[in-house]
Amino acid sequence: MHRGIALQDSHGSYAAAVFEVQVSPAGEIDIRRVVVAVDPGHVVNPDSAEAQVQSCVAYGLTSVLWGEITLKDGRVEQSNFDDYRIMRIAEMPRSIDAVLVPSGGFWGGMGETPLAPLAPALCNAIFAATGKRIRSLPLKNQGLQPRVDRQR
Amino acid sequence: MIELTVNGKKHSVDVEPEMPLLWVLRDVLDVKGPKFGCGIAQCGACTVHLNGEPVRSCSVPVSAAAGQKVLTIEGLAQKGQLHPVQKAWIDNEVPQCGYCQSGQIMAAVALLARNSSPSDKDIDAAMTNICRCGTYARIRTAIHAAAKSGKPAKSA
Repeated sequence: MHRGIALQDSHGSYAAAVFEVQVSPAGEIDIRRVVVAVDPGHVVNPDSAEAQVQSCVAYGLTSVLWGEITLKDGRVEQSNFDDYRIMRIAEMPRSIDAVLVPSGGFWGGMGETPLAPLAPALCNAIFAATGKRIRSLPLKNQGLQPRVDRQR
Repeated sequence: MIELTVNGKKHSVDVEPEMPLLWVLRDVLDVKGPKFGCGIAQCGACTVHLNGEPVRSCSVPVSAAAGQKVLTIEGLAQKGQLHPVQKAWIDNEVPQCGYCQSGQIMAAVALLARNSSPSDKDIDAAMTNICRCGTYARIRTAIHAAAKSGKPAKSA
């Protein structure tokens, strides 16, 4: 198992992410566990805050893995979900832990805060697994894709 | 005129036979639970049941539903009692923006009607609807919860 971490000051809050991954020689990333800790100052509704962490993982991984708008002859090439891929449930990591650590004294964001550390944490985990530094996104252009057929 | 049954009620609609079922539901019959998302059967926001099978109503011509039974999310609750899947959705606080959720629920109801105790892999295979908010973790939890809560009623 290979681990990557990242910490960001984001939307007036602090967010840290840890990814545990395995990467096959074919470039399949098996994301076994994601942990995201957020200090937004105060947490009003812990259940909603946890939901934001979970959904940021889906949104953020979509961007990291596939998110790309390309131009050809002055026009955007992507037109719909058949050529602009969005994460579906099969690709969603099964293990996501949200750790809420409000330290008080300020009111920060929660909606997009957990997004910020996801790409660097995942890319650090990929580096730990492969020795290859990712210098541009999305990962689909680096020969990497999520492993979905987990026997669980 | 095309006749179809929507949520147990018979309707005759005067529309072109190639009009998408979704348009007939929303614009002619004022059934607004099914949503227009992508229009090309990719996202599933328009999912309804046609004789119990989940279909993407944006890409089904109304002629294919002639004389058939259509079930939308409006028809899930029976005698004021929410369907077990709807209850599980509320208990687990699944929705965020909500736009895809009626389609997600209809897909989940269809899955549980043919497989009362789906594995994670069964859920992966059946639930191909897109959620841009990323509520997938709770969708999975809610489907398992609905499966445990007893046999969901058969869809129409």
